[in-house]
Amino acid sequence: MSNLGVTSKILTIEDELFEEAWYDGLPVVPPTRERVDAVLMEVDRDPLEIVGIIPPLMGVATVEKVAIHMVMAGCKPEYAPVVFTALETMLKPTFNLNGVQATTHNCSPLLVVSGPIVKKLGIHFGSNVFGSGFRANATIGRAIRLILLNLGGAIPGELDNSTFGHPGKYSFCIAEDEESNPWSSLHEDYGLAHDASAATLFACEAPHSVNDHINHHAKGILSTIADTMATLGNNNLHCHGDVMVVISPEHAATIAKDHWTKQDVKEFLFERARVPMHLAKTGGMYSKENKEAFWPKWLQEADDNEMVPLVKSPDRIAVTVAGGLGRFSMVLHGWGFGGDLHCSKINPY
Amino acid sequence: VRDGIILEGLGIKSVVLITEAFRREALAQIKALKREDLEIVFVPHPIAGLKVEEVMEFAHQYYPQIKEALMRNGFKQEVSV
Repeated sequence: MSNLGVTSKILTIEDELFEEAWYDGLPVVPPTRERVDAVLMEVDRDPLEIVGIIPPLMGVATVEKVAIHMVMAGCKPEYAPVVFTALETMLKPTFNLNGVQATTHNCSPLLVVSGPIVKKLGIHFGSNVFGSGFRANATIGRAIRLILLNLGGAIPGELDNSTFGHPGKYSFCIAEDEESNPWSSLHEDYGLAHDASAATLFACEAPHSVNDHINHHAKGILSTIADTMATLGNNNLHCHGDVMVVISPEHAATIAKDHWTKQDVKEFLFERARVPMHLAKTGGMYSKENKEAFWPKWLQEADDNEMVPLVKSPDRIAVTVAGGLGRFSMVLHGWGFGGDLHCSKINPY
Repeated sequence: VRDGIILEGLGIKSVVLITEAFRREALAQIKALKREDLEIVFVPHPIAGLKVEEVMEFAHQYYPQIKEALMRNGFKQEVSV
């Protein structure tokens, strides 16, 4: 035994796991019977019950296999309701997980947890929320990624053909800051009760920073956010889908101080986050097929000054509040061909 | 691959075109989905980004292979580009 208390037996298991590529490039926690049983005790479901079939390789995710991946990722057993709900949400046919897993786009499913379970499990929503340092966020997100890798077969360079991927493909889990949120919670916007706990999944790009230190009124801050959203190279412009805006507590407080509702925010961003037609035609995925499939009929293509929206309607802009001190917010563009926002209630076991 | 399976499910005889860069992925999907019966023609990568005239040239070049695969799959009508 080493001075770190690691037995040679465990080292052997870890080595085997690396050999078999059951990992994301980082060491995993060996899924011993005892550890897996601790998760199964929390779940209280038949270990052989099928949770779902994970594309593209159609691996069978049983309750026990999900538990094994939770252990490997470093999850506490009590994280199980979040991991299982997130997985079941991604497996809804309308999420198109097969496409999300195999596309050359860089999207990865972001999990936003909201409601009372956030505090109960200690899921982080504050400073550095998209970064490292918080076990619940890191390991819940990692468990999902390991399941997508091992059961879905989304091995980079094999069935995961993302040109770049992004760091959220290690772990991509945040929580909503309920106390700093002056509006409805994310899950209320998708039809759940205020006091529910929820998992919202959205296949998206890495977050893009919005710096606004000079505006102290709603319109100014939201204009900066809109400008950051409206770029030529993002997928939303040509393929629509959803886009998410994570507003920091300071920005949210300023916007709310001016009595702007969340609906006001969404409508303003829908109107302002646009790209002029003459620019939209010069890049991205501009094509006859995409225009017909995604762009609204009212767009006048012949008018170079026509402004092309990023999404079909204001409700396709998801707004939540998270992050620490500071006058930054974040924009997360979607893929457009699937992975749109899906929200499910988390039922604690 | 999945589009081909959907079309076949609708009774539309299909040939799946896969660029060579995605050969391994396509074969893995076919195996996972147990659809080794699908007719596939592998073509050079990439197609995305080609000009219309380049795509037409491409179509003419691969027309015989695609036609042959379609006929093998039970397609009865004459195929033309």
